Amino acid sequence: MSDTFNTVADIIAETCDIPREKIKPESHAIDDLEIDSLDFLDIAFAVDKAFGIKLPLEQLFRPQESVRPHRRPHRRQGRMSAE
Amino acid sequence: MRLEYFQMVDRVVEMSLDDGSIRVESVVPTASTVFEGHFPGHPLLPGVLLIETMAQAAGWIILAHHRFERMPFLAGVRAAKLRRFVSPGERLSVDGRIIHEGSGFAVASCQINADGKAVCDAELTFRILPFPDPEVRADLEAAAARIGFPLEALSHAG
Repeated sequence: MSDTFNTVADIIAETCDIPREKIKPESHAIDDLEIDSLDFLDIAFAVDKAFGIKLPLEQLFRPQESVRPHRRPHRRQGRMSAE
Repeated sequence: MRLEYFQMVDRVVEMSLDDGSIRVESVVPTASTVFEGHFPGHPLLPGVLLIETMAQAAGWIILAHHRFERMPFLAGVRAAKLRRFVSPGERLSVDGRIIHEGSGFAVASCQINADGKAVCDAELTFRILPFPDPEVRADLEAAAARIGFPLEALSHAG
């Protein structure tokens, strides 16, 4: 398991109060872990800080989209690791 | 402050685009219908309105950072501490500073002081979205003029 995955999984577990063992590379952030857009803000903040990057959150959440991104067309984007 | 209209900021005292920081001032009105219920015989500014005041202060610096092209919406309140009561007539000094600019969101650290003593503080998260309606933008530009927001600073910013 990569350090990157472990760091991100730790962040998700702590931010969203999800058991760490439930978060796997194949987990889909929305369909499997039920993370919503507001949780994504906290996760993005923590990921940005941890890696010194700017996670492209706006590519996942189109402006003025209320809560969730499109599921199927963007399903790969929600995965914990690249397919 | 005009509590009934959610106008929580009276005037901009100072602002730095380089630091992403702002200081504004607000005077709690001596009379308001809010105080008739909160609380009868013992008027206090509700804590949620202190948080709204911090959010508006931070909102102005975020608006400035985005050149009034996109608008911040309060999305999260973290580690809010309401340290003492605030009564009618008090003069509040409100500080906001952007501590993180993400993709489509921003996080700001905010605090309010009165008479040199801490009143409250919080870390606020905002989603940054297009203006939902031109009328909202026009209203904010009018509010900017009312509170002495230095719009001219935006044209000189890199």
